[in-house]
Amino acid sequence: MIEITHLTKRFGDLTAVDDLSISIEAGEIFGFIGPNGAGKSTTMKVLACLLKPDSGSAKVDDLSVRAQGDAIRQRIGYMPDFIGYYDDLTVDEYLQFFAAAFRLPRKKRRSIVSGVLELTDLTAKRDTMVSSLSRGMSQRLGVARVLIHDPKVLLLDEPASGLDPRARIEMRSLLTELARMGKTLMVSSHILSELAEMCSSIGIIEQGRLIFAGSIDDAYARVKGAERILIRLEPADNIAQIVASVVSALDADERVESATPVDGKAGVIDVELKDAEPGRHFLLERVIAGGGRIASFEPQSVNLEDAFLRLTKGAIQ
Amino acid sequence: MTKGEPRPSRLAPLVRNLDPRTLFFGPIFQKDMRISGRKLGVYIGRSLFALLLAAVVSIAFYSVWQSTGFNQSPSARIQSLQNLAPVIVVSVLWVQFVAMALLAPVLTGGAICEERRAQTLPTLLTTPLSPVQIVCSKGASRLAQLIIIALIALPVLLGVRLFGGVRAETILAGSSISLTTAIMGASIGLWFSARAARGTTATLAAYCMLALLMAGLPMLASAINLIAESEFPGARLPDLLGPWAPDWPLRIPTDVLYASSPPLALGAVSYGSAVGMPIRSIWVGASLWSLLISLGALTFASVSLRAVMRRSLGAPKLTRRQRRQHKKAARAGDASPVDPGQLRARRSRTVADRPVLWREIRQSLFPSKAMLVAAVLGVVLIMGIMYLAVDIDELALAMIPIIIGTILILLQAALLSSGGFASEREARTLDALLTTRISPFQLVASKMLGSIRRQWFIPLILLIHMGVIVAYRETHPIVLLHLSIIFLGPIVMLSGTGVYFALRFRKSITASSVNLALALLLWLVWPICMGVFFGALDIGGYEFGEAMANFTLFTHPVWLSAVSVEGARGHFSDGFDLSNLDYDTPSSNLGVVAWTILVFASTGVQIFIGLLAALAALLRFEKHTGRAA
Ligand SMILES: Nc1ncnc2c1ncn2[C@@H]1O[C@H](COP(=O)(O)OP(=O)(O)OP(=O)(O)O)[C@@H](O)[C@H]1O
Ligand SMILES: [Mg+2]
Repeated sequence: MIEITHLTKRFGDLTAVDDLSISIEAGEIFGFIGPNGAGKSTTMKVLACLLKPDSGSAKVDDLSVRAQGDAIRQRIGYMPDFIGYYDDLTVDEYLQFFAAAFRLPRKKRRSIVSGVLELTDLTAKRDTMVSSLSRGMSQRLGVARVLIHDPKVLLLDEPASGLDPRARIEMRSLLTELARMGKTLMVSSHILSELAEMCSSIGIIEQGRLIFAGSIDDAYARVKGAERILIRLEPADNIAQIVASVVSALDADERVESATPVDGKAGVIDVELKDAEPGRHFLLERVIAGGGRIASFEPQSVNLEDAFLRLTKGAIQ
Repeated sequence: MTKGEPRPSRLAPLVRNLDPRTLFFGPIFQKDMRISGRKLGVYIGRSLFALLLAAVVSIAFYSVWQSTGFNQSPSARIQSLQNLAPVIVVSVLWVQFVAMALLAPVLTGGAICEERRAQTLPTLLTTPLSPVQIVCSKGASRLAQLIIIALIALPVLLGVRLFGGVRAETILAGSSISLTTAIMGASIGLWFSARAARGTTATLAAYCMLALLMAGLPMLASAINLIAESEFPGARLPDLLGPWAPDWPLRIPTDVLYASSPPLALGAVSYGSAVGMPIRSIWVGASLWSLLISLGALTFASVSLRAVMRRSLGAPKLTRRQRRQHKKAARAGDASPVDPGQLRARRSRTVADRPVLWREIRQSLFPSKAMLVAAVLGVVLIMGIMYLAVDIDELALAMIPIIIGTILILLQAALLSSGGFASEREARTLDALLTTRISPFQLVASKMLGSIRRQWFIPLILLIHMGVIVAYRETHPIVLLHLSIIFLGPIVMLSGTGVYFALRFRKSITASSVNLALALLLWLVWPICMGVFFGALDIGGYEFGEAMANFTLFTHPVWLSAVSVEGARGHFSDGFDLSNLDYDTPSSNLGVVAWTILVFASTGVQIFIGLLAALAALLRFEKHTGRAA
């Protein structure tokens, strides 16, 4: 549904998006993840036909953003990262305004507005001034706005930013519901865990370059390989000496990425394994060879935040 | 607090607050100065002003050189330079005065409301800076710009003095009047900036206020004098007041009248010494008066800002009725009164098919109905006093409001028209709008129409004013047609250019400044240059000069409306007969048919330029918004 190939966008000297290629199938929820300034918003603006690409191509539903803007606009709903609101309109008028802007037939507008208000749970706020909505409500109004012309593709730039945990969950179920209705979603975020549960695939971008694309499980697998294990040795008088010899023994193994004594905890060693190393037995052998006696052996579970940090540090690739 | 400890004086914070170092030159001052130091436009503006002055002076010198001939004795030449020096000084003083009076509200109009729009005001208000400090240092940083502009003119003025024939007091008086007027304009701009939602609205309101002060006060004084000396027995003010009449004469002295208005005071400084006016008391009085008004405006600004601060930050402002509801709920013991989000509600309207236009034409110049009513009442009051005080057949009664009003129309058109588009960008709503199916044409046309519609108030007032005079059968009704057409020209033209500039420049303040600069160039700088080139210098021969003068005047709305009023005067008593009407132009007197054609042609040209600018906006739409086709 969305096909980005070798897309590059520069602002003066700065390359905001650098040779980016992404492909998103119809009906997917694609999580677009990256740190601040990575180029997420820029990519989405190109897809929304708000910025012209410098080179490469971007297609939505087989339509090129360069030439077929009008057709694309009918098919996409774009929610910018900063949603500006007209402070002189009510919620209802705001949605009607955009319904008219999409040239929906006049007679249908009322029922469409009621429909999206229902869907986003804003019916009670119908006659409230847009300027007095809370952050969570205005974010929901932003989603309601992009749904007004029933687009096939939704480009949502950080829809959950500034929301409290409960509102995040509500937003998530709303987006899942939209995907169930057959829409293709591209959702950006800084936070991997936020997208983990609902996304069918993710792309991680850093400094304008795609550093990972695939399913959440793939992402997990990539970082899981580089597992960390805490080895605790039994207390002894000359523990510092033992730790030093165990560390050098571990370091000598080519399957170990690094082994370091943990500061402030006598007899604890932090071992990082090489990527995708399945074996564990050699660690035991090495520790014994180094003269240590193992008290405990704790594989550190890789959480998503760590994975994200690793990926965006360029630890992979 | 232990007993021995001295109680902190209540005065201490006040003194700290008013310490001039932090009051005027605190962090805000430094930040604003640094930002303006980085702006290219600021330097371009200063250079243009210097160039303008240099042009005026050098052209004048050149003309002396020419007219005295090359074979004259040096002493004769010095003689003529001496004669010329006062003329140069006076024109430089006037250029400086107009520039400072126009610039001051532009510079300060956005000072506070731009912070509010950028959502940085709450942050500012949570710092230890007091509202007084914020207001004063904002004012000081803008004023520093104005002082730099004033300093540009100083070397010219002092240099010209070398030739003699100019009194030092004239320069001092002129500069003092300009500077205090600038301070007044800046302070009033700040006051409105603390209240208005947009910088351009604040600037416009400040212009109206300045116009009111500069023209209204002397008119009020003249009216009082007229009533005081009315020939009708029983209509004189002392008679009206009866036993309450004071002992002293109710006449307002001439120097007070002149001092009440900076342009009148500058006029007295420029030309008054020949007729023996008390120059010193006039300019000192005018300067002090302006400073007094500034003090009042700054106080109001601080009070407004404090009110903003008191309202819980970021909470929506409630209308009076909503506040009452709120109170009632609280009184009824309702633990959580109605949630304010719920309160800020009203019945939703139905949006029409062209949504941008629909919303645009519902945007009013006045933020609330109360302001509209206040404006109408103010105008009615002033007009009432005028009609009572001045005979209805006085030319001045018709003319002065028309001239001031037309100038305000030009300023309004220049400032308001760029708002619609640029504010959309500033409020971050443009992106959402550009992903809809709204066509560039619809967007540009809606913005332009909305801008034209927002400007109805001043033209309507002027037409009503002329309508009253027509109703008294003092002027032919054709003047109403002429004025409507004349007002339409600059409104459409500047709305077109305004939309273009708003698209071209990112910030609305830049767009409206450039649009204002365009208006000033066309209707102030160009006529001055024409006057100097062809009036004083006689370059290119008499006929060419006359043609240029005609061209300049025929496209000048202020001149056109003045002549329209003058020409239609006093002819209504003959019935609707048009044949006696007579319009005075530099080359010949025109009949009503020729004049009407001229008025239509002038407006037609301006509308054409406006449409061209809108077309340019359309053609460049994609480039400037980045939107793909
Ligand atoms: N209009 C612009 N002009 C110049 N530079 C820009 C512009 N828009 C974005 N950039 C730059 O492009 C880079 C990518 O910005 P972008 O907004 O796409 O990042 P992002 O991934 O959305 O970041 P965030 O998570 O903070 O929203 C940044 O370095 C930014 O400074
Ligand atoms: Mg972003």
